[in-house]
Amino acid sequence: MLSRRRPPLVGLRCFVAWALVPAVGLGAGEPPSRGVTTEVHGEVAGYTDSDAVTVFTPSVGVKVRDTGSGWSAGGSYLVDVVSAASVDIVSTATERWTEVRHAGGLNAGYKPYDLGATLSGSVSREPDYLSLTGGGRFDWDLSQKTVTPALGYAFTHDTAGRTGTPFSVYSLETDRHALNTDVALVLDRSTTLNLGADLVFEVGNQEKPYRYVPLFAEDVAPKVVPGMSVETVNLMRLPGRTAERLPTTRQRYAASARLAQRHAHDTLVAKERVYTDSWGLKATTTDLRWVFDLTRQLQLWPALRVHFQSGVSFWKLAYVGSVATDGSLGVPRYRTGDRELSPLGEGTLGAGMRLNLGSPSDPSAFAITFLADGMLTRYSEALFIKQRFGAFTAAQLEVKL
Amino acid sequence: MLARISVAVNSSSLRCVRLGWLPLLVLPLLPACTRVTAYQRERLAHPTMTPTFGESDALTHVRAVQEGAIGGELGASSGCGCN
Repeated sequence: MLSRRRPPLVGLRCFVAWALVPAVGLGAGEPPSRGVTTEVHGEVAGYTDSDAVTVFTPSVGVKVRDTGSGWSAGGSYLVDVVSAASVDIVSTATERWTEVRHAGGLNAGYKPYDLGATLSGSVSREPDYLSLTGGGRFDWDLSQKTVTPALGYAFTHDTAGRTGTPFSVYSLETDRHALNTDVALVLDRSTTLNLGADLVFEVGNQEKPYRYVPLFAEDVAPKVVPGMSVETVNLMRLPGRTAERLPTTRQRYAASARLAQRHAHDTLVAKERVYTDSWGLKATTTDLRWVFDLTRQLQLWPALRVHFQSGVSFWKLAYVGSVATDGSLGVPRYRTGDRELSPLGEGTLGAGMRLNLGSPSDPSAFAITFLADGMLTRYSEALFIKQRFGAFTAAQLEVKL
Repeated sequence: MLARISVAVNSSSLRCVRLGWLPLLVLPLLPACTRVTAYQRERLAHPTMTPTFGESDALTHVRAVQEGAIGGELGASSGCGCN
């Protein structure tokens, strides 16, 4: 019988042909003028909240771009100094701890005409956590750069352990596959619209090694109320400590839109994200920013962000446990004390100021930006805490060489 | 450009479509956009129109830790069509 299998690589050749048609057709114009530019970026940021958490984050980044050949490369490095004595920590009889996270990333891109590709990799290291990420992204300018679809993929491998214990002795590992696609549209001379979708598949143990969940007897659990203090919970809970336990797979989906419109002396930016996942968490996040040009050198803006989410399907304010006659503890299959997985609402009010101090021909070649945000988070179904106030500030410096 | 893609379809076997369907997702969006020539992109090229304007990696990390949702980092490498 004659084989009807298609020859190898036919499909791949066809796809490349599809890709090259507009790339050749639309890229027929002259390439941009040649020139290598270097952009250096630095930031010093601080965060503090009413739950006794402070974070200090200095960071630097550099990007080199050759507009003639289409090459670009960049790198970044940041340090997070985190100090925490939050109720989660206090509730497990642990004292304030301070930890330092180092994170670095490299990326390289090539976009000679309309079709571009970028490769990136990053490392994040804490005494008890290691995260490695590698990924790639294609983007493609169509219709005289008024339509730019992009497709990206990233793989992340996370290893969580305990401080002072080698990963070879104890560790929890998670793999994450993230697929992202988006399209940038130029709607008219002053308006752009970005539409995007994220699909993330996670496999592994995502429990926090230090997190323990209080369990309550069946007749006690209904008496537990949100925001109950550590002391009261300790009086009401069953004896013993039960480690957090989460499902080993999670599929996460997000759809996003960003609309930006430039007027004569101001810019309005609106963003919306809707999210759902296989753990039952649903969320909506809205961002608004309105930038005003006070002068050519000075811009000011207010910013608003609102985030609401439901809890995961297995979230409980009070998990019910049982003590058998032999003293063993019966526990729910899944249990967590991670408030990130609980129902919550968060509102952020912010402001920013940017000073463009470069030359008259390019004022933004040397720019200083200040950001300040105040956040209020309300938890409707969590132990120990009902709300949290947070403040974030940052000073940024951008220089084009 | 649509004509060029049409030629590509005609000169390719139907098997092309099996792996080449991805660009079709974009085609319905093309009529929604206005042709904006290079000299008309002054506003689009303004720094405040870029997706990274006013953003902070540190703030993004804080939100990633405090919220249960992820995603939505749109247009990290593209956007205004002005470069």
